[in-house]
Amino acid sequence: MARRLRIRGLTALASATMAALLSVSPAGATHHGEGIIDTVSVLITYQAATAVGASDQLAARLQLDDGSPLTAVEVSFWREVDFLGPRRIFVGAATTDASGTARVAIGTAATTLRITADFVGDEHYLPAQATRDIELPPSANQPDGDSAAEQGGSANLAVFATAMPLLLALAAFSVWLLMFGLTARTVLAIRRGRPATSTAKGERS
Amino acid sequence: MVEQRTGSPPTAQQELHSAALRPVVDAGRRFWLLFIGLGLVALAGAGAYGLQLVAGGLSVTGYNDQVFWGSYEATLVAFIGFSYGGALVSAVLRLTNAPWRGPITRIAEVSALATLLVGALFPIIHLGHPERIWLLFVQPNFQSPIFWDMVAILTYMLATLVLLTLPLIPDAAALRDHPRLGRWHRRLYGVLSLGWTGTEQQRRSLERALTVVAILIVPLAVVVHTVLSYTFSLTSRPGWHSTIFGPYFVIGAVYSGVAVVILAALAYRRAYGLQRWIDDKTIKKLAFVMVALGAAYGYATFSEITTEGFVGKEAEVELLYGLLLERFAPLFWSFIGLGLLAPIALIAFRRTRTPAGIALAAGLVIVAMYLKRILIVVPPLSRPVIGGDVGAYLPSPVEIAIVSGAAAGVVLIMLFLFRFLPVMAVDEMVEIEREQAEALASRGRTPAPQPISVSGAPDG
Repeated sequence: MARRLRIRGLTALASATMAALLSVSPAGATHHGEGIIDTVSVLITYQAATAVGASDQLAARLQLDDGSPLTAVEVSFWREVDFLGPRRIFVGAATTDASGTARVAIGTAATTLRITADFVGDEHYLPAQATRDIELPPSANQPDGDSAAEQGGSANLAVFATAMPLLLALAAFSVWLLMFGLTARTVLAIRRGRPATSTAKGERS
Repeated sequence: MVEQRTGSPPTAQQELHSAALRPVVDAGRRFWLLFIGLGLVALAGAGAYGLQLVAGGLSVTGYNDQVFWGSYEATLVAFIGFSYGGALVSAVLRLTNAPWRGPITRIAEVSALATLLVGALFPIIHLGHPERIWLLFVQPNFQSPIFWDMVAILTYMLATLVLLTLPLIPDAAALRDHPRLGRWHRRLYGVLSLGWTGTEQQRRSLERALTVVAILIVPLAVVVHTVLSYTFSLTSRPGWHSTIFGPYFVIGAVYSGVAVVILAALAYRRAYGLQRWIDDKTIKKLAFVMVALGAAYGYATFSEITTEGFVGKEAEVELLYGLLLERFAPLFWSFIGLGLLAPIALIAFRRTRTPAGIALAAGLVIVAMYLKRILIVVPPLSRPVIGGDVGAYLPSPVEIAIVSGAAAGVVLIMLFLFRFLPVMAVDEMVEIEREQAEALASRGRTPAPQPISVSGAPDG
């Protein structure tokens, strides 16, 4: 019984660990090439600055199946945004240290971030990628909560992305309307034109 | 009956009317020979396009995995550019009330419309499935520059059409009773004149509308060419992704467009003996405008190359090396020599600043600017971004036939339109003459009794 409980506990622990290890690249795992010996998982974390002047940091830990860290490989960090369609903004790239962790500094006024960490793979390891939504904890560098910037760079971008095509469409429509209106008005004015009278400019002289 | 405007003797006005109608009533044998010749070239182009449609789409072109854009895109940019120059010449000269604009505005407007109508076909010609073009309307992708390209081009086309049509109203009224016009033409001019009698009210309405359209067409043309440049610069490809591309395209467009107007004006004045109205002074002023734009384009080219070369990013340096010293160097230096230096030199020296010299300069600008558009499109594509072989591109006979057919089509449309429309804006010319006479009179000077078209001295 105790043994069964211990196995169940270990299974639960393993599940929790796997859940924390976000999005092990399944696509990569199915494409074993010659010389590739291991798959890699990526865990993204965010660390708010603890002192004024320090940077908020994004970190990605790369580890192999057996839990050992993957060192000295480059990881790219991307911010996923909706700006005139889904897009990626490059945040930075860093090399993993002895603990398998790569860190980049990030400065943002947004309150939520969707971050992707990308390891492109090499001759020994398959590519791996993880994406994580991060609610930003209070940072020593964060504004006080009242500023427009804090109320959402992302939200502003989304509004801009929606409003921009609408504004452009409105501008184009206005020009068309103006052209048609102007032409129609001129044609009507000419059609209605008075016959030449003594006030007509042409007969003044 | 149209009022007899004052300021010019009636005989001069009649001479002007007859001259403006020469291509309409007296096309001549050479006109028909040219028309048939160009028609055959255009037919060959249409046939080549038919072949492209039935024989596997773009596989009959020189396009490949690396260089997936080529002559069709260069032609699109070039022809829309030619159009821009024509419309801008007409609009800006009208807005600035330049007195020498009268004889050339109609030619500028018709060349703008003709090049635009043909140029706008090229995004469709590039499509493997042109029948899907309607998806642009029913399933628009608002985030694509192609969609906004279409919106901008259609809007600009409408404005160009209005800019051409409105000044035709008084001309049609003035010319509808011309004794040499046939019944059909009289009927057409009667409809076009919309009952114009030349009253103050009518003239004011027309002036107001033309001013608004002229004001509108300037930013519209800038938008059209900027959006066209975005098709390239909104990609991350080295050589295309450049902040200067918007203004660079706009300057290039006006530069080549003015060259087209010069060439068209010279061709018409020679073919129909219009030297008295489209005089040397007018052509020289246009030539100076062209040279100024050429200098601006040269500056933009220098700035673009220097900025990229100085920073020296790997991909861009590779591109520049190919452009300036290696694969594309003969084409690039041909453009610099023939498209920038030679035209400036031809117009700078009094000895070569003749109608023939200016025609040569304009011709060189047109050819070299087409070459430049090829250089904008092809070299950045030939360098692979994500590995693979360096691409090569040579236009196929099908592409050459289609592009040649399109060029012939532009001239055909101009010839066709001038079989119906007066080649000069006669009412505007009379008005300018009258305004100048009034201005002189108000300053207490007696206007010289000159015929219409100010200088009046035939050249040549």
